[in-house]
This record gives sequence, C-alpha cells and structure tokens, in this order.
Amino acid sequence: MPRVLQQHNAAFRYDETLQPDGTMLPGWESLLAYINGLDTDQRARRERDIIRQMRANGLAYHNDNSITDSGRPWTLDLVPMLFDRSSWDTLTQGLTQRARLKQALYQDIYGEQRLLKEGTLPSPMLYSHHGYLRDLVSSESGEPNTNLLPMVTCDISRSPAGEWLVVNDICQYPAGLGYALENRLVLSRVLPRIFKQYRVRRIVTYFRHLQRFIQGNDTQPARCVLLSYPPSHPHYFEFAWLAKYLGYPLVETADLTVRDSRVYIKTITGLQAIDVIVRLLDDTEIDPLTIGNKSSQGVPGIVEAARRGGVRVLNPIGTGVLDNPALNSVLPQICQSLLGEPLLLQSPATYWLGDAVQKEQVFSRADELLFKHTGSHSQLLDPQLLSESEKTQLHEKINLTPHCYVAQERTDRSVAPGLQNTEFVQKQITIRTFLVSNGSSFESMPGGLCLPDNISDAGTPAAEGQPGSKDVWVLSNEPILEDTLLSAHLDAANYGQTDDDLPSRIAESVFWLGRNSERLESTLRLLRCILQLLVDDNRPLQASLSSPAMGCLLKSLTAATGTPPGFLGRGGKKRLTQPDRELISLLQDSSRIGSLSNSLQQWQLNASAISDRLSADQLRVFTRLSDLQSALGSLQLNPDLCSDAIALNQTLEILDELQLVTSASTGLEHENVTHSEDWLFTMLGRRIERAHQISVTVNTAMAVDQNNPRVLESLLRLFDSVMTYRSRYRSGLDNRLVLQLLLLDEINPRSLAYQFKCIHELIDALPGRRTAGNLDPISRLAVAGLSRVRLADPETLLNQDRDARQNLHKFLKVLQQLPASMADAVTGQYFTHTEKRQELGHFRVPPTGLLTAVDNDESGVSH
Amino acid sequence: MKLSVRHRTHYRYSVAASQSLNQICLIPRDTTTQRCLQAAVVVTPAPNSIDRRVDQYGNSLATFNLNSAHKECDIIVTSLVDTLDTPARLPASAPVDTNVSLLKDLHDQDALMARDCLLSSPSIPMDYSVDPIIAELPIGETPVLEYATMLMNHIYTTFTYESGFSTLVTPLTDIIAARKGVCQDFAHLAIAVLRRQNVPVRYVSGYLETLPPPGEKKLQGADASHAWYAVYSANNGWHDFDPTNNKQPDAQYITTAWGRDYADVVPIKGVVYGGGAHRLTVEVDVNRTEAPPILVENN
Repeated sequence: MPRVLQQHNAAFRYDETLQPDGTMLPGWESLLAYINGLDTDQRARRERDIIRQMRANGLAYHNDNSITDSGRPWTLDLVPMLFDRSSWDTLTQGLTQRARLKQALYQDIYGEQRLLKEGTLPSPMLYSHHGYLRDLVSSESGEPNTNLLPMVTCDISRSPAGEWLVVNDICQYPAGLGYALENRLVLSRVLPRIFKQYRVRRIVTYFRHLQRFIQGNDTQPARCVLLSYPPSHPHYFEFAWLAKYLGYPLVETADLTVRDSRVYIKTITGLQAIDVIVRLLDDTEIDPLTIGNKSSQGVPGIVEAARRGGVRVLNPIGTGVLDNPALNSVLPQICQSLLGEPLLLQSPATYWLGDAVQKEQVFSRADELLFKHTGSHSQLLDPQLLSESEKTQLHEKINLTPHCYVAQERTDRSVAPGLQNTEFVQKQITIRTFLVSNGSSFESMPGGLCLPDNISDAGTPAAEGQPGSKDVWVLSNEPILEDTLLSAHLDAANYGQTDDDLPSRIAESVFWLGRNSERLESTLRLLRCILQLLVDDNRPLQASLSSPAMGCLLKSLTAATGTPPGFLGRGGKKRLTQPDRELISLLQDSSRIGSLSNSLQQWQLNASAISDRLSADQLRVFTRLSDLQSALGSLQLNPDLCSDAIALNQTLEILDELQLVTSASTGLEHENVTHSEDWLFTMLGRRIERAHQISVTVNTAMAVDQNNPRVLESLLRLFDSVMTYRSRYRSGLDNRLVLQLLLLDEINPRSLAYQFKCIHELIDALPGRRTAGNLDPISRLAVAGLSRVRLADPETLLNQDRDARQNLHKFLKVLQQLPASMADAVTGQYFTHTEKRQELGHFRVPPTGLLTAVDNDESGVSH
Repeated sequence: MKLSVRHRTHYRYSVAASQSLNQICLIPRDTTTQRCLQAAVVVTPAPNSIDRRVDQYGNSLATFNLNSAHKECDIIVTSLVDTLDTPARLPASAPVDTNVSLLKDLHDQDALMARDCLLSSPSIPMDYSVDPIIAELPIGETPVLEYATMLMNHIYTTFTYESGFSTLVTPLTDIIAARKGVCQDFAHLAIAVLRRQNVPVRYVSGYLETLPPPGEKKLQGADASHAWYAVYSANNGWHDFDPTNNKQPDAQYITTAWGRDYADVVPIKGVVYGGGAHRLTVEVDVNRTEAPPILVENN
C-alpha cells in the first residue's frame, strides 16, 4: 500500500509493512503474496480452521454469552504481525532494560526507598497509588530488598515516527500469556509451510526460563501451584491452558490454607506443603488479613507466610505499584538514578497531575489530551467523547485528588494488514510483550500477543475487550531447533506433579462429573425411547399413550430424573394422556433440576472446574456438547409435540447425536485417561449414579406391568441390553430372564450387580484404604450393596406371584437408598476432611472507647 | 510516671471455630515521650508461636494462628510504660503553605510519614464532607499547631460525646449532622478537616489513665483504649491533640501505635473459619505502679 494514500487520512500512521524507502519489507511481501494467492474459499477454509481449533482448545464450556463478556480475543487473525530479526533485537534491548528497571524500582520501593528520600520519586505519586502496600514495607528501611521480579509484561505501540512506545505496564502477573501460547499453537498449524519457511523463533524458551525460575536453587523439585481466579473469571481459560502447558496444578484460593507460616494445599489424603505459588490474581485478592480487601477472597496469612520465607510468591506481592502510569512522567530520571543508563523505550508523553505546574498546563489544553486514574485498569478517558457535565465531574475529581490522575498525549498507533471475513483490512495494533527473569537479567519472549483494533482518527488507545488478536512472528535467519516443553518433563530435574495428591476440590468435581454424566445418559436414553416410540407407533395418539410400555417409560422418566410429581404423583394420570408440556420441560427447561438441559449444564460446570486436567479430545467433546445444547435450546417445540412428527424427528436427531457424543466421552474416560485417583473418583461417581438409576427404573417399571413384553423390551432397550439378552437366551422375552440380566448378572455392565461389584473394587482402590480389616462407613456400604445382590435368591424375587413381587419391591427399595448413602460417605471422608469452605468471619475490634466508654466526670476526663 | 496496662480481649464462639488467624496491634511503642519497658502477649488456647514484627511506621505487631478447633479465644496483653510530661507550651509553627513547602525538603522518616498523611487514607477519603466545619473554622494564615489547638477546642465545645452513637462505619457526614460521636470519630473528623486544608495529620491510638471519684475504689477493667490525632510541624515534628478531652496528651496518656487512620492500627484483626456468631468482651486496666506486672508469655 503506497504511503501517499495514507497521508490523505486525518492522521499519519506508521505502516508496519513498509521500509523507510517506501518498499515493502521482504517478509511481509511474500506473506501477503501467499495470502493474496489464495482464493476466497481457501481463505475461508483457513479462517474456519482457526475457529475450529480455538473452540476445540476448550471454550466449549463457556456458553455463548460468557464468551462475549469474557474480553477474550475470540478470533485469531490469519495474518500474523511480523518482525525481522534486527528490529526485534533492538526492541528487545529496550524491553529488557524496562524489565530491569521495574525490578530495581520494586526493590527500592519495598526496600531502601532511596528514590523517595532523594526526591526522584515524588512521595505522593507513590503514596496515593492503591498498589503501594505499606504492610510490605520494612520498618527497618534501609535493608536492601533482593527479591527478583520474574515476569514483566508490557504493551507497546508504534508512533507515527516509527518509535516503539510503552503504553501499559503489567507487573502483577502476565495476563494474556495463555492466549499468546494458544495463538502460536493454532497459527503454526494453520500456516505450517510459511511458519517453517520463515524460521519463526519459538516462544517455548519463555516457559522454560519460567520453569527454571520457579525451580530456583532447590535440589528437590519445587512443589508449585498456579493460583487463579475461579472458573467464572474471564481469564480462567488461559490460566488453565498455562497450567497444563507448564505442568503445574491450577488451584483456587479455597484449595489453599496457611498453618504457621507454611502454605498447604488441601488434598484427598490431607494437607500438603507447597513451595512456590505463581499467582494469577491481583495483589488485593491474595490475602484478606493483611491487605484488608473487603471481599472475603484470598488465602488469609499468605503474606505473613511469604514474609517469613515459608513460601515464594511469584510475582511478589506488592508489584501492582509498578503499573502506576504516573511513573512514566519521571521514568527517565528514575532510570538514570537506579541503572545509571538513559531510558531506551519511551512512553507517550505523560503528565502527572499531582504536580501543580503540570496540572495547570494540562488544564489549559485538556481536550487535546487523554486522562487516566492511576489505579484503574480501564482505558484512557477521552475528553472529546465526554459530555460537558462528565467533563466537569472529571475536573472536580482531579482537583480533589490530583495525585491520582495522569494526562497523556495522543499517539496514532501504527497499522498492519489483517484478514477479516476473507478480505484484507488495515488495523491499528498494540503488542503485549512478555519478559522473564533468567536470574541476572531478562529474556524476552520472541513473539507476543498482538491486539488489533479498528482505525480511529482520534488517536485513542485500544479499547479493552476487542475480540481480535494476532500472533507475533519474529523471523530468524538461523535454523530453528524443534523444542517443546514436554521434553522438559523427561529431564532429571522433573518438575512434574506425578506424586502430587489430588486436591479435594478437584476430587469432588470429578466425582460429580461422573455422576452427572451418568445422569445425563440415563435421561437421554429415556427421552429417546419415549420419542422413538411415539414416532414408530402407527396407532392413534391416545392409544399409543395409554399403552403399558409408554406408561412404564414416562413413569420411569419421572422417577429416574427425580422430577415429581410428573407422571407419578399428583396430576400424573392427566399428564400421562397429555405428556407434551412435561416432556418439553424435561427437554428444554434448564432451570429445572433433573431436566436434560439442566444436566448438560451441570456437566459442563463440573468439566470447567477441572478444565486444566482434561485431554484435548475430551475438550473437543465438550465443545460439541455445548453446540448441541444450544441446538436443543433453540428448538421450537409446541404443546402438540407428541403428534408433530417433524418436531419429534428433529428432536430425536439432536438426542441421537448427544447420545453419540456422551458415549464418546465415556470411551475417552476409559481409554485416554490414566487410571489415577481422579479417574477412580469419576468412575465411582458414575457407578453410584448408575446403580441408583437401575434400581429406580426397574422398580418403577415393575410396578406398571411385570409381564408385558413391550414393557420388558423397553427396559432392555433402556439399559442397552437387547443384544445381550438375545445372544444369551435366544428366546422370547421372559420376565425372570430379563430381571436376572438387569439385576443379578455380574457380567452385564448394565446390571445392578455389576455396578455394586465395581463400586466395591473402586472403593478398595481409593487412597488410604488398603489396610486390612478396615471397615469404615464407605467400605461397609460397598460390602452391603455387593452382598445383597450376590445373596439374592432369584426364586423369591423373580417369580410371578404376589409375594415375589413384594419382595422385589422391597429389595430394590433398599438398594435404591444405598448409592445416596455411599455418596455422602465418600464426601465426608474425601472432600470435606479438612474444614469445609466457610464464610470468613472478619472481625475488627474498635478502640474500646466505642464499646465500654467510661463516663467518669469526677476525674474531669471523658473519652 | 510508670503505668501498667492490662488489655484483655475475649471471644466466645457459638460453634467451634476450626482455625483463626490474628494480628494484634496492642503493644505500646516507644516515642519521644514514652518508653515501653516490658510487654507480654498471652493467648489461650496457646498457639504454636506468637510472631512479633515492627510495621513501616514503627508500631509493634504480633501475629498468631490457632489451628485446632476452639470455642473461645483469650488474648491478654500486659505492658509497663514509662511516660514523660510534654512541655505545656506549644512551639512556634508556620502557616499551611510555608509548612508544606518546608516539608518538601525533608526526607527523614517523620517527614515521609507526614507527606503520606497529607493524602486520603483507607477510612478517610478526600471529599467535601467536612467542608461545613472548615467554613466554621477556616485555617487562613494561622500557624498549623495553633490551628490544631483551635480545632481541638472547637470539636470539644461544639460536639457531644455519646458512647454507642456511632459504629466503625458511621460516615463523617452523620457525625457532623448529629454533632455527636466518640473519641475515634473526633480524631477522624479532625484529621479530615486538617488534611482537606493541607495540614499533615495522623491518627494515634493508645490508653488514658482514669482516676476514680475521690474516696471510691477504682473499678476493675473499667479503663478504655483511646484515640486522638497528631499534627506535623515542619519546624519541630509531631504534636498530639486530644479533642475528646480538649487536652494535649501528657504523662497520663500511653501511645500504642500511629497510622494514617484507624485502619492502619486496628487493635485486633483476624479471620476465622467457622465459629458462627461470636461474643466479644474487652477489659482494660491502666494503673500507676512501680512494680512491673507479672509476665508469663506463651513461649
């Protein structure tokens, strides 16, 4: 694109693709030529590829609404941002210096405070920033602080003059790191040829340095966790990614507890000490005891533990103070003072309004500038976009606390080409760069997260939450060594988590994942059988509804989903003749516990809580489930569903696919997951739930009609045992044989006996139970279930007389209760063995003058 | 004068608390007019350790965890403090603008704190709520220490002490509207008024010796903790003022700690798991003595 054209715009912007002489940079030329050579279909296919891969990487368990709220760069541009080697190396020098400077500044602020004493750092600039944590300042000021700052992150953009400027410092944790990683993995797969040909430098080095830093000088592998916000947080996805890639467990504050200056993770076998916490949350969210945040988040005592050397927190707590944009107004002097070097990378000219002279000058041309509160994460305020009253408000706020505000010159950011719906577009860009400590200095990640933005003439900065991103490629002239973090795990210094115990919260989540997936499958089968019967039956609707088989299925549906009254309780008779509304509700009403839609939701919630532990294939399954859930939700179902063949078939189509996907998921559980403790808990959840489903369903069905062959056939179909029955007995449907197969046959994986056999084995394999003669509540229940089915006498249960029928009913009734008791016992022993997460009761004692004031007039003093 | 202090705080929980983490700021610090000769902290049930440290303002803090189930917690802090009388006459000080510009050139710990004490703080945001009081008593060209005395007198004469009127979260606008409050409210009020007019001012927590009516025996546990404010004069440092009693603190006053406001020097803060509802009782005794109190520390 010729530069002449650009200059017609209101503002001039640097074009990333051009050299100073106006010719296109070689890397860009061939990249754009390659994409130009693709026809629309080929481009569209690659764009779809990107979307498919990113979804498969695990967004499935956010519903569509939360994706738009998340601020996540939802799309990845097919066109990366390119750097040639020499310009990247120059930029890196500036970035590395900035990281060293931030580290030195951190050490000074929480150590000697030389800058404060010599006046280079104006004290109100520091004191008024909410990131300055006075609790972390040593009283014996003068003691040097030698803590390192492992991860420094900053956003840069290029001025019209071609100079890179730092527009944002992010020193608490490297937000966006997970996205940068994902972008790289996806784009290198979508453009493999170009990626190879360009010898793009690998970003894995960053993660390797980070692992080394975490390991430190310990000879033992450091026990490290990534501490993040809960899954509802918009950035949780990238944290889960990071955790999986680095090979450390992802935990939430509720997983940790502090005992006498050590930090522990609560696991199924008790408390386990940890050495390093990589925190992926703000200073204010870490420790409610010390930092005094009003929200009761955080792990009380962590600051004190870190202070006493009981745990290393990375980045150290208190680093939020380094993000203060006002620092930019004095950074050249600070750099001179701390490093003895001139500052290499500038920022857009920044004025601190705590300085009376600067404030006056800023107010004289306020509309030309942009404003920001020093403590806010949000974007800069543009007075040109504010109403008069909003401007007055801003003015007043600044006058009250001028120290908390900065003004900044507008800069027009550079532009780079991108692809949007197969068409080329120009976007203004900002690049998030990541630096990691190597002990003595810093290494920059060769790459980063590029945030493109629609071109705006006002010179305003990037808006938060733009749903786009680009990968950043640094081209190299040298051969690239193929490298992956996975090999790091084969090293002797293995930081793996193999011997880590399962956190209780995770164990509980996978247990419920198992239960809910089984519940989901059972609901699905029932609904499919019912709808299929309606489609297949050629008789008039009322005739088919009043058939015993249908009655059995509908009543079982109510019993198995636990949604009374439904077809069993009050009004059940009427609903049996007009089941449409109830069926629609059980299909689509996500707010009704037990409905198909609700079970799908629950399952996804459980899955998202453990997303860092799921395999890529499992994540793909969840993506598909999420799609199917939306499809189910958007079906238009009318109250004449049962007689509407088209609607029935449409619904069946979705249910069929759901069935297929859930079966795939079950298969993956067996084949792709190592049979470790989390697998045990998932399986236990499944078996317990299935035992419950079988006993409830058979009991309900037998109450309808014991001998009707259609009822028996439906039962076999529900438990996927038709083929087994045929191959085993080669006879017509016999009530006794059916019940034998479904209840007492230990070889049929769908039988009740089989479930109790498995439960018994699983419970035996759980941690802490291998001691002989140990019959605690869990084991007792397991033995009770198994012996009950083993000792059952088929004659007295399965015969056709009344006594046998009553015996069967009692037998099933007892077995129906067992699974719930087992679930309670497992919960009691493994999930809540440490204290259950409870409300933190904050108490603060006022001066007692408020509570027990003494009114002592005689002394002449009242206080 | 030697004063002994015994400060007992007792929590009783309705159900057992499984764990609690606590930080106490109740050990008197050293100042130019007092020396803390001895101090001990006794906690029941006994924690594994009671860790002491000094915060950035030089206050003494102690932290401890209780890691097993407990239904009550008893914290007793005893100390022996030697206090001096302050000179009756206030030294000369400068008007606001001169005071602030003199401060700009000072970089010692006192001056750094003074600069911190010009800004808004956790419990005292910078806003318009105290402007009515400033209208009643504007600072103008009055030297800062002189103004601090006038403000102390103004609060004492136009506000009524009423215990139980306010809570920890009662905003200053309510205190001003009702013209009522307790020592902490008066200290916070004065701090807000002074800071809004660019005078460095801090919050001081401590104790006050009370004397029984003539002929009566002093009641056990009837003393109380107390709070006041101190103003920084760039010429001669920090000076204390007690608006609750309209008096410059003397040898009857014991300073425990100082900070920008109450939130910096909360006597006891903690986090407890479980425990249900809790009942809190506090007893304070301040007595003249020559003999130190009996001190038996946990460890």
